[in-house]
Parts: sequence; structure tokens; C-alpha cells
Amino acid sequence: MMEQELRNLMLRALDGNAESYQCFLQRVSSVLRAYLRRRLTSAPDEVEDLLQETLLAIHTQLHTYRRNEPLTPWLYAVARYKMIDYLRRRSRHEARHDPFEDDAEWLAVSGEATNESKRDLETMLDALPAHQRLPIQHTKLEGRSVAEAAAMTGMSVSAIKVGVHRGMKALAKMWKEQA
Amino acid sequence: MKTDELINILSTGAQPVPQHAAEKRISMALLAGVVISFILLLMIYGIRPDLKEISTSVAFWMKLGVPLANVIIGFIFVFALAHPGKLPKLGYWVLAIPIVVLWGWALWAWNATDPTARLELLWGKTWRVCILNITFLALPVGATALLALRNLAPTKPVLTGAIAGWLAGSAGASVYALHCPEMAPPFLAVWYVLGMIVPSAMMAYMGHRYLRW
Repeated sequence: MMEQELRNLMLRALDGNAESYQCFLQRVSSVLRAYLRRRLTSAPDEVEDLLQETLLAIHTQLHTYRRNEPLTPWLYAVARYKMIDYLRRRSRHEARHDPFEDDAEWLAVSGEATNESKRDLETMLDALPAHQRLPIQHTKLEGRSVAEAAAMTGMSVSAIKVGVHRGMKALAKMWKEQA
Repeated sequence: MKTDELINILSTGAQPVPQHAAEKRISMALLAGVVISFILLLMIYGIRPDLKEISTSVAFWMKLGVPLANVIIGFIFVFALAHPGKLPKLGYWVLAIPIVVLWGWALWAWNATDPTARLELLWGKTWRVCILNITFLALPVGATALLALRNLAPTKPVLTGAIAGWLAGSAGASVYALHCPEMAPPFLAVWYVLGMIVPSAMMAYMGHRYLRW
């Protein structure tokens, strides 16, 4: 049932329907939040960070989903990859730092679920070059159309699209490196 | 940042995602790699002058066919591995079939040859440069494959790199076969296969370094 529903939303999202895409990401985030919570019992405060990283990965890798195939294996494969990547980074981090300090930190911020991560996309956005930052700001944050963004920045329509796509990939990479 | 905020940012102004973009990109990349490799062959090594005469021999078609079979099988695996949640439809043992055929043929030729003449079959005249030349001609294919794979999402980066390297090494070997004067099966079974393994190992490392996302 989940497969059917998510896949319908996904197929419409792939055709450029923003409403379906938003709905898709919301459903996916509650499914994956539960998935990650079950598996990251030792670090409940990291779940939302990792979930957001996974959503960003889903977004930048949408083109690797093939429309004639089932969707859930794709989703879980992306989530599993992101989780393993995260655990690998964390164990490397712990080998270098005092693990007790980290524990204390987790205890300190532990609280009710706010579905909020410690990342701030807008500060990361400031680190992008203008030809990626401006297209994202205009189309993604301020909700302008690609044509409007092109007119405002003097960039071509395709340069806006490429800037958004590459910029999102760069943000996903920064997101990882901040951990 | 709240997850809902992120979702709003991601979905605002969503653009249609082109269909079959990945298929096109990876096929074009490999094609470009092979073309560059072939141009390098023409510029540096040249095609062997007796190509027309030997083009009817079994040895020549084995020499070309085994690496080409590797390329096709390798492509099937790399393509599946580059897409999350997609399992290759074939078992990994299928990768070994062309090599088993080649070794079977080489052993048969080895046994059918007078013991005093066997070493000549193994070492040939060009064994010193064979691995290096094949690896060199594999480089363009390996590089274009890596670029294409960086745009996809392999969840097993090292394995994907290794098989892409195997594919690149095999593409290099089939291009090199147009120049290489060696025709003895044992020579091909050892040096050609080593020439495919070297790019495979290199690309496994490149996968580890550059294919994580």
C-alpha cells in the first residue's frame, strides 16, 4: 500500500509537480524517521540530522530512480547507504575524539522530538558561489519561477537550472562534511 | 532547521526530471572512452599491418571476443550497481565465464604443444609491455566511467569501481588486440587478464575515494 501511494506521488513529482513532491517528501520523512530511530537507538539526537541528509540525497539522486521499477527498494537503499556512511564517519570521529565527551553532549541536548536538526541551510548557502547561490535563493527559498530568476540575475534559463542542481549537490556535500 | 522547512525548500519550484538520463549518460561516457582509447592506439601504437589476414583466425576472435564479452557483462553489473536498490539480475560468477573459456582454451593449447615450445607460448615477445599498454588504453574508459558514475548513486562504491575498472581494462584489451602481435592462447590467458586486473584494482581505489555521495 505504501509502495503504491508513494510511487504515484513520486511519478508525478518526477514530472515536475511540486505539490506531489512535497507530499511525497513528507510521507517519506515519517517512514524514514521511524526506520532510522529503530536503528540509531544509541544516538536519538542524530536521527533528524541524518533524516535531513537522506532527504537531501533523495533530492539530488532523483534521476537514479527508474520509473518502471518499484520505489521502496530504492528509498531504503538510499537511506541504508546514508546511515552506513554516517556510522562510518562517526566511528572515525570517535577514534579521534574522546567518546565520553560526545556522550555528555548527547545527554545534554536530548529532549522531546522537535523534528529539527542542528544544521542551518542558509549559512551553508552563503558558502556557495553566486552562480549557484542566487538560483537556489530565488527559486527555492523565494519561490520564483526559473524564468523570473533568470530575468532577475541576468543568467540564462538553463544556467539557473544547472545552478540549482549543482548547488543542491554541493550543499549535500557540505552537509556531510559538517558532521 | 526543521525537517518541514527543508522539505518546502526542496519541493519549491520542482522541475521535471528527464527520463533515461542516467542510461544515456553512462553509455555516452563509455563510448567516448573507447573512442579516445582507439585514437590513442592509432596515434601511438598503430594497427597491426596483417590485420586483414588474421581476421579470419579463431585466435584473433578469441582475443577480441573475450574482452568484449567482459565489457558487456561488466556493463550490466555497473549499471545495476549505480542505481540504489537495484540488484544485478545475474550472479557475480557470470563475470568469470569469459575468463574460464579463455583459460580452457589456453590449457588445451598448452597441452597440445611440444614441451620445449611451451615457454614461447607463455612469454611471447611482448610480455614486458602488455600489462602497461592495456592499462594505458584502459585509462580513458576508466576516467569517463568514473565521471558518469559520479553522477549516479552506487551504494557499493568499491565494488562498483572494481567492476568498472574490469570493464575499462577489458575495453583497453580489445582495443590493444588490434595492435598486439601475440596470438598464443597462454599469453592471452596470463598477460591480458593481468592487464584487466590492474585497472580493476586502480578503479576499486578510485571508487573508494570518489564514488561516495
